[in-house]
Amino acid sequence: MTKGIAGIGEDYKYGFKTPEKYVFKSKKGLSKEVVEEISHLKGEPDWMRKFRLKSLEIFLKKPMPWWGGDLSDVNFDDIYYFIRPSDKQGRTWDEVPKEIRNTFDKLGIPEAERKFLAGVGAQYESEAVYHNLKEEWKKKGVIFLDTDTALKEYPDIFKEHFSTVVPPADNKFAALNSAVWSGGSFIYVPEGVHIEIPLQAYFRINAQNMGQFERSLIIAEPGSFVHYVEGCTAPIYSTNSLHTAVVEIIIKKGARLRYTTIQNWSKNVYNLVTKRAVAYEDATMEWVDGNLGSKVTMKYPAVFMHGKGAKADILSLTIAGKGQNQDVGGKVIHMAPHTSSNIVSKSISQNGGRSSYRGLVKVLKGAHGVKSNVKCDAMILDDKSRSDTYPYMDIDEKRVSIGHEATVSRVTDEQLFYLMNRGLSESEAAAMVVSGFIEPIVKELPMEYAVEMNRLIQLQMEGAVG
Amino acid sequence: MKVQNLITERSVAAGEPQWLKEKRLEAWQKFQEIPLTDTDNETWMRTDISKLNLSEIIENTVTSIEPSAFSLQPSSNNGIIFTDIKSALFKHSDIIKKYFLTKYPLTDTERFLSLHTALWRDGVFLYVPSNSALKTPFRIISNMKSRAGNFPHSIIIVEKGGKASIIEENYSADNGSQVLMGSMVEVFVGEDAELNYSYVQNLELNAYNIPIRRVYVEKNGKINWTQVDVGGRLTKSFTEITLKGRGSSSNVYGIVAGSGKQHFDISPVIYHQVEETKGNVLIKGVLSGSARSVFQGLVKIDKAGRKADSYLANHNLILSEGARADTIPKLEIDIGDVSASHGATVGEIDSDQLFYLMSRGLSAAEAQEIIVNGFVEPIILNIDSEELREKVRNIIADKLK
Repeated sequence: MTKGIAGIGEDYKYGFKTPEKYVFKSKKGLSKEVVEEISHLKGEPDWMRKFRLKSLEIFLKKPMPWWGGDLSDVNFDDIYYFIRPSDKQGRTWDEVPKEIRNTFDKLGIPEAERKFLAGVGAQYESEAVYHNLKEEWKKKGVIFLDTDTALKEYPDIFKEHFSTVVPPADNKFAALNSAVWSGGSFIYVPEGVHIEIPLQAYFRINAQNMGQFERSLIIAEPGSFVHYVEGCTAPIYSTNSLHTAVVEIIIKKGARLRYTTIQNWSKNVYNLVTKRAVAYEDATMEWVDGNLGSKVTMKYPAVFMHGKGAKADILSLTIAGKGQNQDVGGKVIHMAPHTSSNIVSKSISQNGGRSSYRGLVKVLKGAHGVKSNVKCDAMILDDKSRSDTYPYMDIDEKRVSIGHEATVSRVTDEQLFYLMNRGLSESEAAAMVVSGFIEPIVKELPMEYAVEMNRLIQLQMEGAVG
Repeated sequence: MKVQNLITERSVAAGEPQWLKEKRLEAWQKFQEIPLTDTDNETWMRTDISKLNLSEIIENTVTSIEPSAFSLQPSSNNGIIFTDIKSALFKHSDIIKKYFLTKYPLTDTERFLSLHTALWRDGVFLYVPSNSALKTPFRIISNMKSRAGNFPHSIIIVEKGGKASIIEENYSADNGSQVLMGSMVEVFVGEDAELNYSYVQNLELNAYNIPIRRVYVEKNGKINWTQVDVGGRLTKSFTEITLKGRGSSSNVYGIVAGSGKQHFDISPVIYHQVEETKGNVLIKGVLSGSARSVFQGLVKIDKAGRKADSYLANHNLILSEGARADTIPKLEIDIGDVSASHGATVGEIDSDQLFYLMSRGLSAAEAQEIIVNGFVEPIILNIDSEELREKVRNIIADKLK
């Protein structure tokens, strides 16, 4: 195997850098002063400043996780915690500073916006440089803003929901995000509104040793629907960057929310993210989580099912290549009767990469009639790579049906032989087997990502099987 | 008197060799240095032993003068040695020294491993020479009566081409105070050798049961391990099988049948160190009352474990509202060319099955009993004694009534 499927390393096409012309760059390292400075620059209310300072204390007290990826190389003193890229946010791409606009052009964001999307947010370093929602959705009362602006313009809705899903003390990295958060998406979908085409946010790190700490808050009122897509990339540096996001989602009665992530950070980024949704009665939460990039990712999208009849779907696709450790999975907490969950995880390890599924299914007492199914399939493409499965199931209720299955396999000689018999070359055959393996998840991705994914696999499997 | 001095005194009084006395003291030192098992430690996070009065048990153990709880019928023919470990220590000291606790432990059992090493007493030594085979199973019965800890240590060696079968039964008397069963078995299965090991415990509810098993299997060797855990207030069992030789294989079958406030934590580890090894784990739990079971299984395949084939399964039937099952079947795979999978389920009795049986005139209780029997019977069939199989069926039926 000579190349990686995920298009990282030499084939990572998003690794370009743009010269730094920033309005403000904090000094390296984390301190009370840096936190105060962020809050001051943003002109925040006092409660938020206090919240940040309290979170900093929690962060400093909490130990690093003893499980998961190797974080020994993360140096919190060697990170820039806040970079303001531009002094104003564009409503049209023409208002975005030229270098930054060029970056997003290269990433194809404005074009995608015209073709497929209801609204787009673009974050560059610590803050949004562009945010726009199409007029028809604005009229229906939909709010789609960066999180900083939302705090200013909708302080009441904001304060009512902020940090109610992920408290700062949840884990060390949630505490870090709570202390230095900046940017992210704020989405509010009013009762009964169905946004038929996706909203998208794109997160770009450009500076070296950058820490990006966006914080998103999504509220879906009863009976509404929204599909939110996020993508992320960064240049390749020899030093490490840190991406530590928190995403909080509240789905009210009968609403449905789909959250799709295509994580394609360069291989020097530590991606340590807390994502959690609360689903009320008959609500549906769908996480579609694709992890292709980064050095170490630790991310376990969670759904807390508070209301009866709530549903959770977690689809996870992971590709771990050279030097990568993808420690991902999902958590579902069944707190109410007749809730159901379905987790499907597919991972590919190659070129010395390590992928781990780490998941939790928890059923609390009284949550009868719960159904949960977990299926984890791993494919290891060579002898240098590694795959781990850590499924946790805590079941405290009798009237439930809980199932878990997992397999670890490789592309077999029989499969290759069969396809090559039908006239395919060895690399085409291998690409077809791998495509078939991840197909159930790829088909859930938005069209342009699905096409891209298949193209990458075909490209990268050339000369891959030996 | 200090525990350390008592350990020394007892070792000297028993006429133990110097190396063994030193090993005990070293282990005691280590035991004191390892912090208490806490909830940050994944091995112990789901099993709470804070109510176990360990210091009192240790004190009672080192001052106890009670006779051995172990009984066996020593025999030796055709070079087969089956004896208590104390006699073996004198008669076969070279073999004992070569095999006694010399392997590095795989998982974090160190605290109880150290305690066991410091305090062990009694146990069994079985040596089956090359190409010897004995059809009748060797029986070990332990009937724990003491008010303290029991730490029997057994060593089982089956040399190249040998075949043997062992049955171990553990019981205890409830005298009102806590007792601890901290047994350990080390098993060495040689090239082309085969061992069946059947273990049944129906301890009383005052007993804490923390057995440690280490099994090493050489080229083309085979271990069939069956464990039935029915009794005890709390069980935390470590069964670790290391497949060291090419073509070696293991089957681990288990039953957990719990009621009342019983707690079971079953942690089998299958470690594939070389190529073309085969592992199979199937543990079935049946829980009533407010019993709780934890399954933490691990299949680990090393870089050298090409073409390993491993299956890890845990299935649980929950019979009552208060019962609870946690299941964590883990895979750690370091190489691509393997086949590894696992499955786990937790659920109640299928209402269609119940309805079917009741429509044929059975009461709900009878129907449940039949379904539970059917659920555990495939495991029971692996026990190498019809008498014990029948006993286990009865124990489980009584238990879940």
